[in-house]
Amino acid sequence: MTTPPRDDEPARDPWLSHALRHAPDANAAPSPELSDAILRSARNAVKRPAAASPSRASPWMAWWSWLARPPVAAGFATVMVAVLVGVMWIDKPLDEALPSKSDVPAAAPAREVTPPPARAPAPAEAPAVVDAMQDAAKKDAARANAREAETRATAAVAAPPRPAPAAKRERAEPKPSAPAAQADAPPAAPSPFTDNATQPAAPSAAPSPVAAPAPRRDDAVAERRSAESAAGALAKSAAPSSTAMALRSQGDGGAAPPFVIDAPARWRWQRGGEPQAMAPALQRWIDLLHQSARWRAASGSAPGDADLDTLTLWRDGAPYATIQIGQDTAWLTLRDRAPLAAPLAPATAAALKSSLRDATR
Amino acid sequence: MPPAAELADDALMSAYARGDARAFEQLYARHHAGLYRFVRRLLGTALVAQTDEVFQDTWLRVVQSRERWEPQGATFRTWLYTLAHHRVIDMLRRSGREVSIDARADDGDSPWEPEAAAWQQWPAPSSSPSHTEELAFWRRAGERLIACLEQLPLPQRSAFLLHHDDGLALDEVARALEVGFETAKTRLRYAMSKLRTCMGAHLAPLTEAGSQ
Repeated sequence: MTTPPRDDEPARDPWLSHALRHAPDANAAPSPELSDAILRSARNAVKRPAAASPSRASPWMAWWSWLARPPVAAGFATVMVAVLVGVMWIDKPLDEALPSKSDVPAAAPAREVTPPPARAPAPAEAPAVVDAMQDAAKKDAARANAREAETRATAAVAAPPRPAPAAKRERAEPKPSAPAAQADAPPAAPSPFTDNATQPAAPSAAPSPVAAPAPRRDDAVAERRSAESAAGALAKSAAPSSTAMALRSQGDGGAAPPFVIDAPARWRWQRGGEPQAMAPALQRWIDLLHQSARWRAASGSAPGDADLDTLTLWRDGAPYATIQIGQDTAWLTLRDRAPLAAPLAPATAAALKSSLRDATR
Repeated sequence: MPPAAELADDALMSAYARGDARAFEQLYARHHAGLYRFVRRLLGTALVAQTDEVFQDTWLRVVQSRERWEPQGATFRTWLYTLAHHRVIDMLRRSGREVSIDARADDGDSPWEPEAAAWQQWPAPSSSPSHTEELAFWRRAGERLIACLEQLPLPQRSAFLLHHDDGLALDEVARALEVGFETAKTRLRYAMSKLRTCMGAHLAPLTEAGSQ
């Protein structure tokens, strides 16, 4: 039973080995009682599984012993923690789970806005302007694209298909059916200055969202939009696309616009000085205005307020439309038409004013 | 299938792991005496009362580990002595003794070689001492050796006992002590050197012993 020694192994000392064999404890052995106890334990250990052999207990014990192994137990604990976290987050608004929200400093309370009388829900309350929010708004710009897509998908479920607004062209989304109100409207289309200007809520020739019920949104989505619109307004100078998106989501313009810039060469704009040629930036601003505002017949004319930002649009060499943006209302006066007004959230109005200044700079 | 008495230790342990209690009895019969001596001599006279406890604990570890035991590299005997060595170290630590398991902790610069003359006067070791005087000499030698063993540090003591008493080859000693071959070899050489010194210094040759 002894392994043969290696060549480099020291030889056993015969004297020491002999002395060991004659040591007083050379015949030491465990007591019979100790041996019996050990052998009994050994026998019981192998008897126990055979005796306790209910057919169902064995798989459970095997499973439990497998689970009790440290690597398996660690993996199982990891999965359980992941499931717990998932359950805690389920059905929660996404913004609550996003860390970016903590980046935004506390917002000042916003003023109450009179909800528009129409079918759509009132524009959500927007937080006041805070300079520090500009950075957060830039970060949110990318996320806002994804949310926009989600929002539109929700709306598509709740409402029948409607014409895509002209501003959506900027997003380079494939639109199989061109909207009736596109700037480069086909020749067959009626005059862009439709009589609908006086009845903005009336259905137009194109499938109009007016006939469709406004899509319902839960409070969380409204809150998110409110925050996005405010943030987008602030970030407009650095990220115009986020501004557009925020304003679009604020207005969610359902009605056909009272007018469109069909042929930019025929249009000019004026703000205090001489009329100037229509610029693409201003066209985009007008699209945004239509998206943000729900025009209604105005009860009166615009107040002569110094805070009003006024834009006059000329068509074919004559003033055609006057747009005035107040602190919470926009007014539109078309040639030979009754004035229209649209309530705006303060943040939206401020964003429109700011972007108007940029577009006409 | 060969009878259990002819099976190797590893086969017996595998049979016991499959539920054959008689295989364990066979293993126990083969190794209980050697293991008991090993434990007792490692613990020394100060802790000789703990021998039963350590011995029983070692075998119970064998019983408990039967399903995880796999004959990979180490033989059953090597594994058995490894278990016992661990239990002894635990016991020594529990008793408050310093246990050095560093191979070089107690090594000198070079092993001391005893004078050959002291050994030349000893009787030649033989399996059956022919004279009563010789038998008495070897009994005294055995007593002295046990006393000298206790002066060795534990690593050298365990290497010497496994090699000289239990008959393990040096590579098995290294495996049982979980050290490299050269480390085990060094420990063994130091142990043998110190034991020879201790024995030669204190054990009178047979001629003097006979005259006393």
